[in-house]
Amino acid sequence: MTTMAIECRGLSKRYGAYPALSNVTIAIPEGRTVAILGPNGAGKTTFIHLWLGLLHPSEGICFVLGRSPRDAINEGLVGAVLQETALPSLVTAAELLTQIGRFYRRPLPVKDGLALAGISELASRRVDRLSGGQRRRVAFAMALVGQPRLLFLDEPTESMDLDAREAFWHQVGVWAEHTGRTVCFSTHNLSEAERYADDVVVLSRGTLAAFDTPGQLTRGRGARVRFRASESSARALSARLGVNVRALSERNRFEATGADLDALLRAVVSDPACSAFEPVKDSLEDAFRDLVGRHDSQAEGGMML
Amino acid sequence: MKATMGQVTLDLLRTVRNVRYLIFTLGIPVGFYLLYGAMYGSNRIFAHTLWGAYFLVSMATYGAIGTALNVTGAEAAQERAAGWQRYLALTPLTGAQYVAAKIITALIANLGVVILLTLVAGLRGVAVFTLPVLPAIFSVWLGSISFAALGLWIGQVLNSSTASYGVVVLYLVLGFLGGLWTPLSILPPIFAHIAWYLPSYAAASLGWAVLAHHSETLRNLGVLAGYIIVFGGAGGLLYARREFRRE
Repeated sequence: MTTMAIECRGLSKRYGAYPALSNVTIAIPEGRTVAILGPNGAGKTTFIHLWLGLLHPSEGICFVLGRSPRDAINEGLVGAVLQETALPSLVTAAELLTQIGRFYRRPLPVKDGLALAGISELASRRVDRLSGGQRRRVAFAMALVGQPRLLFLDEPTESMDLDAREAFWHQVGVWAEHTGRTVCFSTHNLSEAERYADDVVVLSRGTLAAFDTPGQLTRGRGARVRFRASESSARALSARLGVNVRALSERNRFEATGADLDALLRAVVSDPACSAFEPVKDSLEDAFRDLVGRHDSQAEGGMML
Repeated sequence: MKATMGQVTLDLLRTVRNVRYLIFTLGIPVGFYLLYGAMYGSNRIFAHTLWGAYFLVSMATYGAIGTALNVTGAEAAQERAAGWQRYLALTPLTGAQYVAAKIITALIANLGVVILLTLVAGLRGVAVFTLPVLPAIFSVWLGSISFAALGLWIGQVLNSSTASYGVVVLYLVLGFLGGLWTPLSILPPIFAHIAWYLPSYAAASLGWAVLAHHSETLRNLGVLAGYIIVFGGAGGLLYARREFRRE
């Protein structure tokens, strides 16, 4: 049986009466690279902090590598790079990594930690004199130095330029190649999730909206065509073709979903009440918007034609 | 133990490079010692001992308070504000190990002022090896655990900006009211009543008592133990309370 890197059952967290996370059940197997997506306020941070042991659940239970989150941390199985990790002043990168290594049973040699994070040349530099990007690399090395089995990265490439982002993910990839190592990262950058994640977790309004591969999430959502029309014409089109038509946020703009793109496009284009056609290519961004949007409209009882 | 010593080494590396340590733990106590020694003469008899030995105990205590407030307290407040403690919460370093590390660091840092002052006193002609100076200063050094506990608590309750002012005020207040600057016997009696409850007075009078072969040692130990239990416990609990709310 595969060990689960993260397993949650009925996980909920309330702040007073406000439900930040409701009834999340998920099992993320070891060895995957997993992106955690969700709009602001979707419960991402709460979800993450629950399995990092920084929060206690109101209900439900979660396990990290088959243990309680606290035990997993205490056994040194988890490494994390949080967004606002401030490094202590007045020490060099090598001094910092050497001493942090002593927190763990089998620390990585400092030289290797620095090399994995791509900052070998910064070993004897004082960490309080490094640039923001370099400090982020030091934090990454700190997360690796204990040889964790689960690595968590909180919006790791935010504020990195394109080259730095590529280089960073290359290093994560090198680290994760080792069998059974799991990487979880949160991001707002959907193309990053699409490119680097094996699985995507989508949270919306405190619930689990999806957990699948990026490929599965983008595929199988049918062909879609967007067009401009009045609401009554859109309704008529939907009834005539027997396809699902939904209103987009832009006024008088709709999206029809059908099984076959060519057939759908022909049918929509031939309707004189419709104009400004646009076939929609599937991307994770659309899938994400759908998931989150569907959730929103369900929650608000919003309009679905 | 290995994890604790990792944190201790990290903190010590930072302490000896910390300007606040150099000023408040080493500079001011040694400066005062030289100044008061020059003003009153080290070999004048005071409180059944030599002024040079008496004031050595005062200033060793003062230096240890400097460490607790300006290093332990101020640093911990900054670490907490900057998210460093949250990072530590994600490592195997436990709350108890963190607390132990902070106290051990303070004790080692205080060795600095203890040794420096003893050398200075010796150079000024105080017979540091024949008088009971060493056991006296050792008592102060052990008593400084109570300051470290206080510093730990301060680091958990003050935010980084109030901490930087708060600790300087406390440094002055604990020093003066504890009778470290001016012996209580030459101040109005009200000050003696206040001093009885202060760890600065309790730790220093442990040392003074050894020098003068007398006195309220048990009571002083009680006060110090009280500070260790109350503030060390509160500081440790606050640190260990890992429910950090955000979002």
